[in-house]
Amino acid sequence: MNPSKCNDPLGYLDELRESLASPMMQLLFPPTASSDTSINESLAALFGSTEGVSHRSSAGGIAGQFDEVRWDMAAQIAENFQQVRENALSIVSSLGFCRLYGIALPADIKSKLVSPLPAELLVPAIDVTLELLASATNDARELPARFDDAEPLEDRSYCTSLLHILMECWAVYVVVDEEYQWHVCARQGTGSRFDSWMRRLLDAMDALDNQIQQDEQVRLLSVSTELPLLDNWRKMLAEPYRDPLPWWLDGILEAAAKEVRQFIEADRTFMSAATLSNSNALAFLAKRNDEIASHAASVALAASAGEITGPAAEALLHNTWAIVGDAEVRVRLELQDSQNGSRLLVVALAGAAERTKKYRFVEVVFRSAPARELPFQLGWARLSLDANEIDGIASLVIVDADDIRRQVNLEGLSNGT
Amino acid sequence: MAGKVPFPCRWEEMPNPHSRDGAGSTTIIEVGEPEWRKIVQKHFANSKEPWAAAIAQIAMKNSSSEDENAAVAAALDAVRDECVSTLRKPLIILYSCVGRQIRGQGHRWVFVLPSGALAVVWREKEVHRLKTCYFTGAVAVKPRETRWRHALRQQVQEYAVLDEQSNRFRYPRPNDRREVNVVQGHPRCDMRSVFSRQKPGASHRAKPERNGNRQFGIGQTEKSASAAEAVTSRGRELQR
Repeated sequence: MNPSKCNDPLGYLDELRESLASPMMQLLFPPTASSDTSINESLAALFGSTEGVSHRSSAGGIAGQFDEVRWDMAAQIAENFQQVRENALSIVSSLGFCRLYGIALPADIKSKLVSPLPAELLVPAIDVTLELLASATNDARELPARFDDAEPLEDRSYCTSLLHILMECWAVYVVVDEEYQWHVCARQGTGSRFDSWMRRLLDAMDALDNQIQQDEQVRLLSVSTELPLLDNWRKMLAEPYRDPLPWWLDGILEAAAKEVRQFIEADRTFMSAATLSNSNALAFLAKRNDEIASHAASVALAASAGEITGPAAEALLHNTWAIVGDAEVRVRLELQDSQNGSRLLVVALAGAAERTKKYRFVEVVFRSAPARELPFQLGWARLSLDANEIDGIASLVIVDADDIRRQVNLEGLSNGT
Repeated sequence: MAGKVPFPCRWEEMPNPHSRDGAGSTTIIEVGEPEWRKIVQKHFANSKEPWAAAIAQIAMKNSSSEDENAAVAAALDAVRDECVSTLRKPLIILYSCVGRQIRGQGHRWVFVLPSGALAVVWREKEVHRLKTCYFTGAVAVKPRETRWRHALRQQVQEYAVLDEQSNRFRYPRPNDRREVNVVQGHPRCDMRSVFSRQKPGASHRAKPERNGNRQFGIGQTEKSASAAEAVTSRGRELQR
């Protein structure tokens, strides 16, 4: 083992030690005895004798049946004791991270966590992981919508959160798989309760993978490439987990990010970020470009349903991007009404901006608020853009095709100044 | 009787993590009604996000207006207290846009709150504004006592840089800046972490206090080398 890998920069050993010291886990892992001894003592208290039923020798016969009973009991425990569930996941995932990152276990911990780990630890840990995977699968499904609706930095958190969950599930899987291999060898076959838990775990991991590896999700997850996160993980991984790498570390996200960049560069697209992080804009743009047209219908609907309350709402430039191509400039503004928080997405288009500096308002895309809650009629927004009546809007930065940066006040959008 | 909570709500006398001269420097954070409304509707009301009862209560719609105002005030106080706790022993990631910026736009702060939630604060025209406050899915599922540790651990992995030689996280250096855009002339983003400037070297062990005495931390021992150590070292350098 690489000696430099022996320290624990993220405190997994501390977490492991704390969880092992919790009252419930002390029953499984008493401070002075090995887990095998303690469990056998517990079993002896329950059944009078543990001869031949040690969880280290569960190879068929009575021992095998007893093993199955223990897995059933462990499932009951997992169902009823939240504290056990939490501690079990903490122990198994921390142990898994120690494996992944090559963190050497101190003797006091190592002596307790020897294969086979007790079912009373594994079952709750797998059960909580199944919940985590189900929740993450749902989050992955909703990621595009949540990403759109999130503030900058928050949106990226949703992506990195899924990656953290992938890492944690991997860590859990490493430990469970080790135990499963031991179990299969010891039993010289399959068909046990452990098999069924293992299948459920693998199915749930597949479900998450299938959902999270959709094109759109991968494109969004690629925003993580602007952080050191993926590099950090690759550097932390120890043998044999460095090769092959899991899909989220094997370059697929970097490739997705590159694809987005190429798409934008091909369009000679430039973005300015007022308050929007660039990655968000990249992902947003890649994702939203096709949707803008489809929103036109809802715009018309919203326009007909809106009620004018006058330009009382303070409009704020919220998120901005501008696409500058050979023949057009497209500007996206997000206006926010300070009174009720609803938003308008405004897309303005100008032809041959570099030459004429004339910007033509094209459409308003209704984004987050239902039509009836719009603070001002869309016509007002259109009018205001034309008449320079929107106050409180910061200047808009447009980067032109020759990378000449200019600051254009929003007023300039209509009067060409 | 609880009156209507005036928005924007101004949190005066907030500890200023930018302070170079130590104690005493304060700043103001504003909470606008749109942001607050969004936080309530999107996050406090989200059953997946484990907000404390005092905070989650305001998402309930069945209270009278008077009760609601009291609940809003209580929730604002609760969030404010969390922010103060974080700012006193700063566990912040300061995220700055380097290069060209829109006028009036400044840095952003990401607070790791004692509850494990993240709060995002933007500086806009000399004012700090709370923009959002949320739990990530990966942290929300953790036991309450460990959420802060998990949130911090995740932020460290996301923003700090692992030094392979020492296997420790360190403060990002200028050449670690990542071009988050490939388009020439595009603004770059940089990150700076601000840990305690008041007590350099202590921030690693300086865990946010909650409920009086309770403390949670990523590192329980002196030996535990977290990114915070590297960050704090950088803090000492900056002080010099």
